[in-house]
Amino acid sequence: MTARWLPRLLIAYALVLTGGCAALVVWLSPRDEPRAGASEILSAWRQGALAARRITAKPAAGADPGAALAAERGTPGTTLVVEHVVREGRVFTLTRTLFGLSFVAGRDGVRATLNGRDATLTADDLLRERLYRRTFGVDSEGVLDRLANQLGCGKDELWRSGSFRRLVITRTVLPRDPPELDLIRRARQETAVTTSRLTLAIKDAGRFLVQRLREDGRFSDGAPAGAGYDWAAHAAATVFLAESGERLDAYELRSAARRAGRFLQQMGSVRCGPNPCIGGLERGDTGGSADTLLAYSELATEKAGVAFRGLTAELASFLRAQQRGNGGFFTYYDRARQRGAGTDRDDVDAQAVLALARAHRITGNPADLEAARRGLRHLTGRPGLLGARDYLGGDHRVCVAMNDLWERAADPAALDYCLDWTSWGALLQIDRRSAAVAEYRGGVRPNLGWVPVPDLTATAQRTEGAIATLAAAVRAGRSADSIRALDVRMAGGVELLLREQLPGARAYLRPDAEAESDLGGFTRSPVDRDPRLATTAAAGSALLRCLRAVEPARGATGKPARRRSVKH
Amino acid sequence: MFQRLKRLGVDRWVAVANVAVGATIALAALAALPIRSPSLAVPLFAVLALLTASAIGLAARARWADRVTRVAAIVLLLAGLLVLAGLMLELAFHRGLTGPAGGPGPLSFALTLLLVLPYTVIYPAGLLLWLDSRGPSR
Repeated sequence: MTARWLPRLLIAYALVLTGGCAALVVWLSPRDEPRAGASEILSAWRQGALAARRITAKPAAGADPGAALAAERGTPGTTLVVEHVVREGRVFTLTRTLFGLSFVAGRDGVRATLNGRDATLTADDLLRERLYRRTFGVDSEGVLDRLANQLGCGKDELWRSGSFRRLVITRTVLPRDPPELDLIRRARQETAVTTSRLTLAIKDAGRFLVQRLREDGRFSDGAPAGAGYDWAAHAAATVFLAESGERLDAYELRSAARRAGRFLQQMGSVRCGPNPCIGGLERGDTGGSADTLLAYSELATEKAGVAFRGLTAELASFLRAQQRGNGGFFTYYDRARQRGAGTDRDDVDAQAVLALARAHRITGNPADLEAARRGLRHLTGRPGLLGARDYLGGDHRVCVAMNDLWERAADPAALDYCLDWTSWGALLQIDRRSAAVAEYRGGVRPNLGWVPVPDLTATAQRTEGAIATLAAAVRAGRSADSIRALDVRMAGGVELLLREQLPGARAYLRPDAEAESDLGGFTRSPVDRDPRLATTAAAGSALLRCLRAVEPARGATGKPARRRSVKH
Repeated sequence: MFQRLKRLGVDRWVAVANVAVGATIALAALAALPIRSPSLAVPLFAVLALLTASAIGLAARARWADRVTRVAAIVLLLAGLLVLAGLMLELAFHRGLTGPAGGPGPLSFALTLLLVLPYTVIYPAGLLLWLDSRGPSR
């Protein structure tokens, strides 16, 4: 009985599924040529607002693409942008949720037609209005609102009676007239990885963080209301300020780092048995203590930070006490029961290993080095699920710690782990072949899906881990061939960070671009508008590590390092 | 050696296979998936419970083993066909949306088929055919 119907059922299923998938691909693919006379959208932007717009046909070869708005061009502070409609395609209108999902964030625009009249939202309009979702698609309600406003009708009427087209758009920013004369602003538009460009980007990121640091030592982040204070971001920003201040010999950055460090000490410190730790009434937090130890260790490297040396030794002692027999770390300290508790977590282990590795430089205590070494071995040598390690979810700090420890306790097995981690990371990186938006190449997706928009925090962290791995591989004498792909991936990540640092390539969409209030910050993704503390600290650290890697010697700033380009 | 393995009986080998397939599905769903939701967990645990019950029944050569194994195979097959359709349609959606430049390529489709088909479609189909070849339930 089964033998008769089962094969038929499976064959029918396979045919229907294959046909359905093929039909979906064909139906949704943007294949149509743009409407005649509407393939170029020329916009004049001034102080983040649209000053004028013309929708035209493609100009003849050699013609000035900005001719239609030549009068606007002469007004100071005007940027002319041509958005080319490359193709058009259908969108789902079955439900508003599906409609919202029918667009590629950062690339696609939309045209609505109602009673013979058109309304258009370009990619720049959607970015400016914050209507792209960070992962996929657009905010359908917001898009319908804007389109209905343009057409002078109700949103529901437009949804019921209108028709919609998806516009695949590429963009050209026309040179300013008169051209930008400020050399620093012009330098910020460069994305080639040179020591001078990296130095400028690091200075900008540091300045951004200093501006966000309040008198009491707390950072003001643009986090949504109700979200708790991000202590991990605070510690990361403190570390970056201390490191960049030391590297660039910038007193302002070092002073800000000390202020942020004192805030950590005053607000987060509690007792966990005989040692101080970072935590609350019931628990001492291992991860938070590790982040703070990392910050203290950086602050303690200079003479003015001598007060942090004792704190470094005490906090390192707490972390050592949290270490398990297998080299991993308890995730928290139970203050009532006076002992470590909590399940093993790779991210906490990685935080603790890196912090102890850095602390050892200050304390000189062999116990700190041994604890870091054991922790690293636990992280990189332990067989995980069915013997396979979690390369995709691995924490970048494992490789940063491996590189930090290399001179003191070289661990070739950990280097092998990091080389595998970076190889697997290629699955997450957007390369030229898989980039739906060309500007996003080099970025790292937040997960293994087909999200077209990179996560800039993940990009910065993966890039920093890759640079650390590359540095250790070079010191270990690994062949150039074996690390060439890693070098290219790392360069892709750094170039994306340089492109996305605010004000960025789309500064003309920001009303505050001329005032430079957000200058140097990084948003969570290229389709976000608000700079974030955690992303800026992570990106700054990655750029700083890159500067150390490409610069042959101190004082060589201004001389181009190897000019890199992403070719995948 | 071969005789000893043969003496164990096909039923018990199928029981072992049930446990192996159940464990693989559980590990894939619980360890690899980044999301946890009741809409996924309830059907998953129902399928795992059926496979485990079937394995116990087949190992003990219980009377009810064939019936439970048939139910387990049908449920697993239906779930597999549903999951496969969902994954393939999602890939097709992304391919259509981003176009050939940025969407998943043929390799992604092939990899998805290879990961899902053996455990959730081919295995339960084989179970049903095996049960059918044994004739009516004892």
